[in-house]
Amino acid sequence: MTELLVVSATAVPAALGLAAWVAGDRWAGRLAAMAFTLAVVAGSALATRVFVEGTLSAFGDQVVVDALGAYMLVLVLAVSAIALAGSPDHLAHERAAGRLRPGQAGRYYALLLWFMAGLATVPLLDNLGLLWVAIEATTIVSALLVGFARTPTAIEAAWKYLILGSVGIGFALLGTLLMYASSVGVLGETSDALTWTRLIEIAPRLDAGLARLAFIFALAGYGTKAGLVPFHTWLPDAHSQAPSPISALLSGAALAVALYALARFHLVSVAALGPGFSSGLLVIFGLLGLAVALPFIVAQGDLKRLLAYSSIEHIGLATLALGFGGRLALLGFVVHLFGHGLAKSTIFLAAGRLVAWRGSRRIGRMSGSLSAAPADGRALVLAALLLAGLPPSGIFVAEIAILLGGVDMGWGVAAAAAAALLALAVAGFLFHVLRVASGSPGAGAPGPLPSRRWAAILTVPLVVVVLAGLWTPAPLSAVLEQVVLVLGGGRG
Amino acid sequence: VTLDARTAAELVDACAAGIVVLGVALAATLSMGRAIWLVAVQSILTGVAAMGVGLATGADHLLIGGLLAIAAKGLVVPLVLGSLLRRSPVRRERRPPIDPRLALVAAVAIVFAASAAADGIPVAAGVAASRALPAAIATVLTGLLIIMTRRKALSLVVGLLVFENGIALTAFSLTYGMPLVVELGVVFDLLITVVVAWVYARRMLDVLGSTSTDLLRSLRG
Repeated sequence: MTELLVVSATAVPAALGLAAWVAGDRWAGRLAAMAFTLAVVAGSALATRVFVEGTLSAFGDQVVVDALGAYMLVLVLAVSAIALAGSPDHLAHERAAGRLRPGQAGRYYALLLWFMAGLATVPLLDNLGLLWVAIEATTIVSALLVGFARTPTAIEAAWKYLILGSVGIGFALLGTLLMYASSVGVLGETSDALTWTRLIEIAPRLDAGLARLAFIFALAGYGTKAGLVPFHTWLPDAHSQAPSPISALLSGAALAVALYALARFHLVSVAALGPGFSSGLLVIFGLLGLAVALPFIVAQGDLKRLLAYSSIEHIGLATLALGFGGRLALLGFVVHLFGHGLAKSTIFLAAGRLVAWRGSRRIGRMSGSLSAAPADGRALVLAALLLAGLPPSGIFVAEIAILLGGVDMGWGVAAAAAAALLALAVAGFLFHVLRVASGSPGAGAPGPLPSRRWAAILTVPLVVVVLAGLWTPAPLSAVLEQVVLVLGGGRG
Repeated sequence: VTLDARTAAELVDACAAGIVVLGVALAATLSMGRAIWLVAVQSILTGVAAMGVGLATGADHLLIGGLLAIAAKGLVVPLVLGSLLRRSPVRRERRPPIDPRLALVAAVAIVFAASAAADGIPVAAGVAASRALPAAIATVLTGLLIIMTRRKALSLVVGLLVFENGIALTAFSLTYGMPLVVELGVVFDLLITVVVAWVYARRMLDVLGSTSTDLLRSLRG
């Protein structure tokens, strides 16, 4: 049963992606919707079973799904739903503008399905070598999506992403190898030396020097994929040049999945070396992300790049939370990842549509969006307020939990610095978004932007984020406790 | 066929030496045609070394992994890159950011630094190939050096391949490499990466008229 659910949530949608490529433009969208529905049904069933019955394993223990893995799977599927819902509109616009050649829509959906399937596979794998393979596969597929528009800037962004991503992921492979090598003295040359489950069990006996090196390489490697400063230089280009539904998936889910991989290394590292080493590094890199993103947010002139730098800021905060540790900060981490995933992917869809409609991404030339394109303008403002951490919202609660949790764990100075950096970034971020929203469109602006079905696509995820700040149903809070237990080094 | 541990160690050491020399040559050459076949030979040596360890230790997955690496990185990838080079109007690096003689010196310095750095890291006990780990570290760093000092898309892919050869050499000098299913995945991912890089290099030729990444400088801030 578990096998069937895992395959239906990952391999079957990927196979249907191949069908979408072959089927061509007319059927690709429908095939993608079908494949995705299947993935959601199977993925939800799998996650529910994990939350109710505890950790599940399949395929000779290569697949082990604990509460953290199940939670990440749900996150990937939720963000994918937003990306998929925004895709027909994006493609229709590209077609109307004459930029879409025959066959390209089919290819788009095929790549999108592969990207989603890859992201959904990562949290299910117990073997860290296979996890590496899955993350690398998502890099390659998404590189093709980043350059989908074939403009010089899109090619530039995709090229940087491919080369820097490959070097980064090469470091992650070195980290994986070193982790394997650190266990060989205990387990010998067996393949289960490469699984999280075994590594955690034998962690105290790992070779400390190799385990330390392994974490450093994993930090640089998966940190590159997650957009940690200073490995982030590809991110603003890729996230701003990609088609907007792809930006949504990259910012909302791909970063979180890379951070998840790093979190697994962190767990082994804590069990092997004690909490001091990897936690300290995560706190440093988290603060660095917050500090470096700030000037680029404040001085930003390009709407999509603004959102990309906001992602770097939020990933910095999440990394900080992971480094703080402790129940409260980890609870904040878990809620923050989901809130950011939903709000950031939604704001990318709204921003993408506004950019396409105005024919410019310069913040100074986009004023009046709220009056001329009410659905998108409203979503842009609401999502920006949520991302800024204003109450009531899940993100607000999460940020407070992270900062208080940090103080609890004795990271008072770091938490205070983070609070100051966040406050400054919020001011810059909201200032730019409000410039886009307010005022009048001015002369020469295109007519109003129609939005029928579209408003619902943008509203639902944002309402979820708001509700998460007001009310946590008992089953949900039980789920969150389970995830935090895994992140705290306990058994989920 | 089996090898005794001593012969295998000599074979791996010889391959490692070759890999390092080829890496230094790659860091110094500006001809992209030469770079393609140099990196092909380097990849084949990496595969041979993996098979040597496999024969000595009876680790079958290293034999299969080595053969696969030879086929993919020694044969398929150079053919793909060669086809790209034939379409490209420019076949040499022009105006490299640092002088090739300086790059040569830097590459040699990397080799010495890597030798020093690898002291004290435990290597796999079965095959006592003492030179493999420093060679691996040197090759990883040489790959990074090439990536940082080249402007042509094709040269960057060559740098990536050198980097990857270094990682492969690390894999079976620290342990006996990773389990087969992982190695298959790694080689497969590398192949796809090169194909995607080829796709983008062709788009650069179509859209920009050159594969020089100098033209890719418009995204800032």
